[in-house]
Amino acid sequence: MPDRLVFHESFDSTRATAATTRDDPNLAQGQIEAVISLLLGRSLAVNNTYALDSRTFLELADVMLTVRNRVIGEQKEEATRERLGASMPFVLFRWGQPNFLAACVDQFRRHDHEARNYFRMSAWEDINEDVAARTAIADALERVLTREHYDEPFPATLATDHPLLARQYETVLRLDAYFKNPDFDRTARAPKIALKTYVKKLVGLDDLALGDLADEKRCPRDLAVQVRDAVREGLRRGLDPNFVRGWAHDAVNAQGTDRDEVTLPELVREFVDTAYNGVLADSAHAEFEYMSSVPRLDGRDELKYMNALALGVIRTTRDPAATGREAVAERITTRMSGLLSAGSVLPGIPAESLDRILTEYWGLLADPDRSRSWAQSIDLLHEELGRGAVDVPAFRDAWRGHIAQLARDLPRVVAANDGELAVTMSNGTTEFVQTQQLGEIERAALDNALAAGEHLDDLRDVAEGLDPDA
Amino acid sequence: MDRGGTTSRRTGLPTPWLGGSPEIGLPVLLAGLDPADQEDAELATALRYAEARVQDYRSELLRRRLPEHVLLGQAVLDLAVEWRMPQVERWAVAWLTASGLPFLRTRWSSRSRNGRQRRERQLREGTVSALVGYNGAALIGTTTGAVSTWAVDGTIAELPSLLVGGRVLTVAGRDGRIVAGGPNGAFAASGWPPGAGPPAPERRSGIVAIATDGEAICLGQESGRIALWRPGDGGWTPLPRRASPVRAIGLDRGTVRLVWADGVLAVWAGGAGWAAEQQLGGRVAAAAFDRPGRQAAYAIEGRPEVRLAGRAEPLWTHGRRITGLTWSPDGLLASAGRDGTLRAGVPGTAPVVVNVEGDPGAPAFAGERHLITATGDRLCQWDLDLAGSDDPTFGSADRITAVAFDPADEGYSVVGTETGHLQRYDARGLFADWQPATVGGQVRQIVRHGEGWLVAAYTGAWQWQPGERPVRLETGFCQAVTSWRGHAVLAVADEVVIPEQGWRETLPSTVTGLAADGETLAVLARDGTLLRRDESGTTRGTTTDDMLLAVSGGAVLTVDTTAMLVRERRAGRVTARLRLTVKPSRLVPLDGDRYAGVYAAGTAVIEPEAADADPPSASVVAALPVGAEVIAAGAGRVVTAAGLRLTGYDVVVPHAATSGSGTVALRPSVDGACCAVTVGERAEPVRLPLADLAKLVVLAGKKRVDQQTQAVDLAGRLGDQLWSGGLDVELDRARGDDPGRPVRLDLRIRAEDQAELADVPWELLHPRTGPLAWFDDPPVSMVRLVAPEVPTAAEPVAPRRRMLVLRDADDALNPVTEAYEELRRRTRRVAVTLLHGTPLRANGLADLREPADVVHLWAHAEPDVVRLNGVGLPNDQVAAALAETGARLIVLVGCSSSALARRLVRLGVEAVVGMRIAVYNTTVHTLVEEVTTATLRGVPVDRAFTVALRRYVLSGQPAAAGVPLLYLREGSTGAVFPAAS
Repeated sequence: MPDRLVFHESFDSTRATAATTRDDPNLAQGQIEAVISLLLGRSLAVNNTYALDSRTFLELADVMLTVRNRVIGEQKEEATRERLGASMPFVLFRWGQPNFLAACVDQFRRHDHEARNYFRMSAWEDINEDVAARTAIADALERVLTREHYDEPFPATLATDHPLLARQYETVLRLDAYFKNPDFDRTARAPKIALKTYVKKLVGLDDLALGDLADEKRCPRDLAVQVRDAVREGLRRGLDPNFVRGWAHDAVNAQGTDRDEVTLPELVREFVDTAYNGVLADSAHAEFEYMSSVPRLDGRDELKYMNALALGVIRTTRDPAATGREAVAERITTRMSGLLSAGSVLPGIPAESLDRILTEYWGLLADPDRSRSWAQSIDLLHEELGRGAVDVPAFRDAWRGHIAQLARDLPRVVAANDGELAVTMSNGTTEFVQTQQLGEIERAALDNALAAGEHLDDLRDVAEGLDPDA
Repeated sequence: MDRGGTTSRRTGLPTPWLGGSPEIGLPVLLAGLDPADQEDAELATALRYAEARVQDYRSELLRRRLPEHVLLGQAVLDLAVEWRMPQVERWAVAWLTASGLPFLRTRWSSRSRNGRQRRERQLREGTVSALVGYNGAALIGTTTGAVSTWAVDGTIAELPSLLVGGRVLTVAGRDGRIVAGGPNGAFAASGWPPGAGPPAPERRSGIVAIATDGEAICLGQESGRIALWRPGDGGWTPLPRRASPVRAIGLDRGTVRLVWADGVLAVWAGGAGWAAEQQLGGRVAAAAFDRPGRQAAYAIEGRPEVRLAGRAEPLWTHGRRITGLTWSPDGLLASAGRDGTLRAGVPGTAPVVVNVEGDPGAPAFAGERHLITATGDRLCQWDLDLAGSDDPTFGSADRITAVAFDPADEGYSVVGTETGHLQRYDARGLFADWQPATVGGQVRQIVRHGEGWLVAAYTGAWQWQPGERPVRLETGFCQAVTSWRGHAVLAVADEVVIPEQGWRETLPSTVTGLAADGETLAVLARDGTLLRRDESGTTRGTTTDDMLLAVSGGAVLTVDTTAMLVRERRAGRVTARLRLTVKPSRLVPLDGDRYAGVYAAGTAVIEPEAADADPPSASVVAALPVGAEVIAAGAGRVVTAAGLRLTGYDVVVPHAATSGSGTVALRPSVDGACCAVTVGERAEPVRLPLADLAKLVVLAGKKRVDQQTQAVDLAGRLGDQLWSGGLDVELDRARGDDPGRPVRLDLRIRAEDQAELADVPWELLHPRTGPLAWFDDPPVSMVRLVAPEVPTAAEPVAPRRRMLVLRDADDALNPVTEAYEELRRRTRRVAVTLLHGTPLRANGLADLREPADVVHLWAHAEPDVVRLNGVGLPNDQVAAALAETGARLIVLVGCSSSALARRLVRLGVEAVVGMRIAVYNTTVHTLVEEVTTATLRGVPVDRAFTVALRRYVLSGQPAAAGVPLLYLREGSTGAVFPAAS
């Protein structure tokens, strides 16, 4: 099966920290979105930062590697074990480091607040300010690296106070072992489009153009204008010209978190984060991207709108030809969109734990009959997707066919109804459902959702040929 | 009666094209209809919806190719079949025939069951984003910001004075005043006097709920803000808010009631705070207030229950989550669910259920009887009064993904679904087998192979024998199958396999198409690789083509949907065979050079336009404004499917002379174990098993009711074969452009087949779902034609006819006296002389020779003899004697007298009525009187016989329709005594 790498914005390490509670939708979102991508035959592309510091990804990886090993161990046929061992749920993309552990050590050691390369930790937030703890973990990982043996324990001085971190440490080691397979460990490239390009695109839009874009993405015009003006104002006041995203987060942190309403800095951060993840996806050679908004439990929709606006900016930056009503209408029919909602929205689907869902997934892979049809159906789906809007009915047909078959193969995990794929997951206390469909999402469904997202699958060829400095 | 056009005598529907042009506009047609007449009213409804459907038809290209009146006729025909309006159906066929252009004759539709219940339309601009009931109709808000009205007759009218900036999120209206809200606080209002209406509210978050009582307006925003405007108020008054979107607003004079998404119902009666609050028990998925704004119905997320605020028990439940709630003006509550149902009823009573095939979204009442739903740009109106007969299994939402014709059993088709079900349908679109099979995954293609079928599915390649479990031939994702030289050919992912030959070939990408003829197998992969296999081996080529159509005579036909070309590849030479003008989603060969294609907006028949063009252009010769997803075609027939809707069509090319012949020839002949019946002008005969015909002869001769019923059932099954084998098409052709034209079936049985076929009650054959042809409207009569051996006597010039009534002396025949008296009374005005003044007791052959124009013979008969005065006289002698009378019409009232009747026509008698089996002379006189008097009045004898048979059966002879037979001289028009003379 060819590599089909997908990058998920919801793995963003700033979304879920060590302090995030277990029932937080941020954790579930990345994991359930990842399941959908796996069911579509895609491998998750993660950069070394998210692989170390995204709690969402670390928890997913923990369960994934456990289930993978268990299912492989249950197989009687050597050929099946080999086949499963070669299947690739995720792939690492390193930036400037020879291997995963070296990258981890480097990031633990970048603890100097004053230094330009200071690395603020999210999944390891408990020890972010604790230089000794960061150094101890870095030292332990370095010993593993040197001895090429995984018997180096989590520093004893930290284990009692930080059981979550101890578990994350174990996951990092298991990930490193997984990434030893050279197919699973790759080098990132310089992005073709920098974050500043997207930001410049936004601030360069006049009211008319921004209004059109906002209408297309169904983002209220006033929100779009407010965010654009806020960024313009920031630039006027001397924002970092390199446009790293720290400034957007700093503005949110400065106002505190105890607020009911979505604030303008949060909207700016949502825009910048989505654009930034577009850059990371590009850097990770990801053929596909799924960009979704930060989930909110209070039913407010502004972040969904802003995520959509950012996707509009990414699209028009990467493919200026894809503007105008006809082009949009033509392309929109082959776009995949998704919603994260409370599990109660689709009560008919059983909610399973991530462990159970991944067990079913690996069970599908292990079954020679079902996995064969599944993989072949995925091939056709992507062949049709690769033809773009040339033959929309054929793509739609392939999509419906694939999800209908998923629902039959994995009835405990997947439901398919009227062209919509749904996966429901329970984290023990709360249930979430992720739905994917082709084309536009209805307003009512959007209103009921916690988060909305969109695949940028149809832009990959355009992005490939783009001049990054244009 | 002149009602704006020539009136068909039988149907009563106006036929203004008769004697004129078929290019008739809708206003002319509608002007000729009487709304008080049921048939007229049905036609008017169909015409209005058809007009809407044609207006909705987005393919301007197809529209330019075909005259508007043809598209309109096609739409009327389709609706008439869906709504089961047989008179309108016939009317539309006649109109289309009058156009002289090819058309798609809708034959059956799976939607006929609930067609009357639903009325569909497509919105031309934008998709529906808000829907609400208003003044017996509905208001529609769209994504483009427009607000329109939907009337229950299907009329959509835009309200230009209401234009919301951006998509309409909510709309409401009362008493001529309408308000709408959209994103970012966009607002529009109409109906208030200038200067007296509401000002624009503050532009904050989107307005998601709005209500008006015709005076005041209350709006709710996504942010939870509420604002109230009352006449006389300068501006909007903010009400207390909650940090949650508003789901519904009830406006009850000065009191405002609201339901928020976070599960609170609150009442505001003036003042700074809420007068009352109620927890509804969870996040609210949908809510609606009744018209007075007092009662709130709601549904909690995760619970598919419809609830009423203040009531502990749910009103009713759905199978899946609830997507919308709405109230009618008089207090009917309706809910919509993702289980694909609408439920409606007065709270406290059991709701009626309507299956809607999919997600109905948020519905709205149009008056008390109709519910409107919207999916994207499609609107559908559901008639609750017709919901009672709904089939609970109909909305199972198992989308049809493949259809195939059965070449071995013409008219039958096989359907495969998204979940892998296989179902065989007969020629009327009915289940042919009640136990569907399953292959466990989406069916991609179905192809006949030997005695069974090959099935391509996500779960592999399968072989299926109807009635048995499918057998898997190959695992993996199978996109295509075909049968080649008796071998199954399977396309599994990127491989093509012939298991019986051990042949397996891998292609660069998924194989999407297979086709074969006797010589050549063609394989097309998604990347354009085209593989060809024949006697000389296997070759590969690369194409830009993405659809494999067929292999014919060694030529491979493919479609390049980007370049819109149909290409033919033969012996290394590639020629463009056809340039398409509209891109189909599926295209299949129909017959000869014709193709049938389905599009999102329609179904079309395409054929080459000019053979000398390079490449030859194609022309849409027939198009139906009904879209589809999958299609099968062959031998002039088309089956399409869209979702759950399955429809069968005939491709009809009207004769240049459009008036219609009024006759259809049926020529049965013995062919081995079958009777091959040639129907009209069709080349392929319909094959009926001789054993079945023999069984029918036996059963139809039985006297017990259960045996008679078996006979009728068997006649229906045989009739289905005959009708679907082409008789239905030929009947349309015979009616031509006049929907009221009666049709005569001319049955010709060869002399050498008489022994086996003459006693078959052909007159009983009928389509199982229809009446005996005699009883159809207009009727379809059947006559048995016999070639005369001697010239027929010339029509006498005498002003008065002579009628001779003969009888045997047996007292059992005494009822003839009564019949004679009846005849005397009824024939008073038809200038006939009843000879002798009484039935003549015939003692021998000499008494049979008296000159007469009409003769009735009442006598006991057996197949070869007639009994007179206790003596059995051979048929030949009796026939010779009766022929000497010079009669043009003879009625034989005697059991088993059909052979004698046949003999009489050979001897030159124009028309003879005989009895196939035993007949009761005490009851048959009704038939005798009627056929005689009507014929004497100048009615063609076949029509007179039809009228007579109807009267006879209605007099209490339900099993009698297959007993009296009408024999007619070959070449006769049936006018035995022309009216003019």
